Amino acid sequence: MDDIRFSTPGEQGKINSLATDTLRSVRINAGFLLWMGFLGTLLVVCLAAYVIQLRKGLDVTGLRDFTSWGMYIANFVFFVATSLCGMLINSVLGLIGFKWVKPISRIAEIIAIAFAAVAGLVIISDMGRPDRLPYVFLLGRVQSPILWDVTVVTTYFVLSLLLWFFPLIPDLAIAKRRLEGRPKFLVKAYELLSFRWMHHEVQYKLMGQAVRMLLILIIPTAFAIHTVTSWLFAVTPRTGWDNTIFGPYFISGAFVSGAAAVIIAMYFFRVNYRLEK
Amino acid sequence: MSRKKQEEGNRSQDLDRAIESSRRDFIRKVTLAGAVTVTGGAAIYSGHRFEKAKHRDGFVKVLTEDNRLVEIPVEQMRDFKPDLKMLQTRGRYSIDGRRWVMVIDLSRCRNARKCVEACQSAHHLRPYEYHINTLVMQKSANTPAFFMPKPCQHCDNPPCVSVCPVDATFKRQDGIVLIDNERCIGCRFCIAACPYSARIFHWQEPSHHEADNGKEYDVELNVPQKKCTVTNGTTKATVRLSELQEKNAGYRLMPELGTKPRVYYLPPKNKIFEFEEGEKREYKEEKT
Repeated sequence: MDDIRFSTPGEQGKINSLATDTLRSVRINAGFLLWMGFLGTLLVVCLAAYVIQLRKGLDVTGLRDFTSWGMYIANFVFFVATSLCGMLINSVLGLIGFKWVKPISRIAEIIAIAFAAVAGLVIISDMGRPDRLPYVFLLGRVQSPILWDVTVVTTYFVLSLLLWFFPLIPDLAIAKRRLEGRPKFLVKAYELLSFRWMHHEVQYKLMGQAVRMLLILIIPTAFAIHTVTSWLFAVTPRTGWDNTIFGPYFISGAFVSGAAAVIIAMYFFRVNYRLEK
Repeated sequence: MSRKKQEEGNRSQDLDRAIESSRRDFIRKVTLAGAVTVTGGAAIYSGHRFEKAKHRDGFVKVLTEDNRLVEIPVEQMRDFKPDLKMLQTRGRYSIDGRRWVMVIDLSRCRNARKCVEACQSAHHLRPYEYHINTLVMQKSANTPAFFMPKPCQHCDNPPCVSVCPVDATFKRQDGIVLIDNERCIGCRFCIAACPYSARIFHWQEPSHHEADNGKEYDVELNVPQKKCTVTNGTTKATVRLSELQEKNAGYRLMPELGTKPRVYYLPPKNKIFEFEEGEKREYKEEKT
């Protein structure tokens, strides 16, 4: 992966060789098509199921049962936890100074964004009345941990998005000159999203400052997202739930699942892009 | 001698006074009776006139909010159907000067489930949807079991209210915890938060939903209920003296959680009915 520090004008040669490697499209073979087809079918089935749930009520989910009542919430907790990897790989390991995290930081950030977004969707699908979602913003009460969760998930999502997009701008600028034979809208999109990046030193300096600020900001946000998720359970006076261990427990669990998600994604990239060499 | 005369004179004076006073008494009584008759007659007459006036063409007497009787023409009268917004606002106002509690005497519970059925019929619930549920309790292996109806505890520090993200469930000044079904987003957080498990969720369309179609939702009665919203729906709390619980060693359910419940239980001492195993005891009309 390109890194902002290598992309100064003096090192163009190295970039060229890297770019040919990394700017390839995903290899589309039979296995890939099969897998994507399978996932696509699954998505359609899930959407159809959700339409049924909207029309008939949450009864069709079978969540009334004492065993399966928390399926959606467990899903939500999983997605929130895994989204921690963005903060873990980028901020904690990056700020400490591990050089090996740089190639995988973008993968980690994309996973963080996607999982935080899906966590929000899961919460909406768990709601009995998604049509009344605006009430959360119009009539919100700050006492409710749900409002804390909405706030912190949104904040984390936005910070992750910025942290992913800022370092991407120079790379988009590099990539837009290597787009021969690609569709026109793609060229346009690269043009638009690279914001006329000039590879100027001042630009890099500002970028470095901004990214560093985001890296520091995202650490308390990531801690907040997991402690707040644990408080969804821990603030209730239910026996076994009103427990102070939930915060640290959720954060440590998130480290594990976040790291696992990055490892799985890395495996896919290595195999598909033939980066084993 | 003179003293004797004086005494006689005194006595005759006393007698005179006695006669006089009894006469006055008589006159007073007659006057009073007359007054009563006149007043009564006047009252009857005015009532008669009022009855007549009530049917006066085109006018109706009504009582205003500040307790004045006024006459208004019939054409100004309209059938009043409270709209949703008014019902929602009214449901949040408490009854002035009242703080409701509920006392449940466990020695009288025979598991007749009348309260359960009444609640389910009032709030349009299915037989398996409980706002009140009757539980079998036993303090230890050696003590006899007893039945315990468990409604919403209307806590003074309600966990359901503090976790609600949209203020759909609220605590009123008079101590009652209610739910606005029209505002509930169905996140079910209050169900998770309630340590008494007093809340249920409408997983599907509520019963009577076809009959209730078009009926305006009343927050206080919690009818008609809505699909995919939470409900507890206890609206009418029974009033008893709170010293009752001191004399009977009344207790509350799980007060150690800090929820300050407003439902008081009187322990099942000297039970009127024997404990009987089984779903439901048939209820026979009898004097208790």
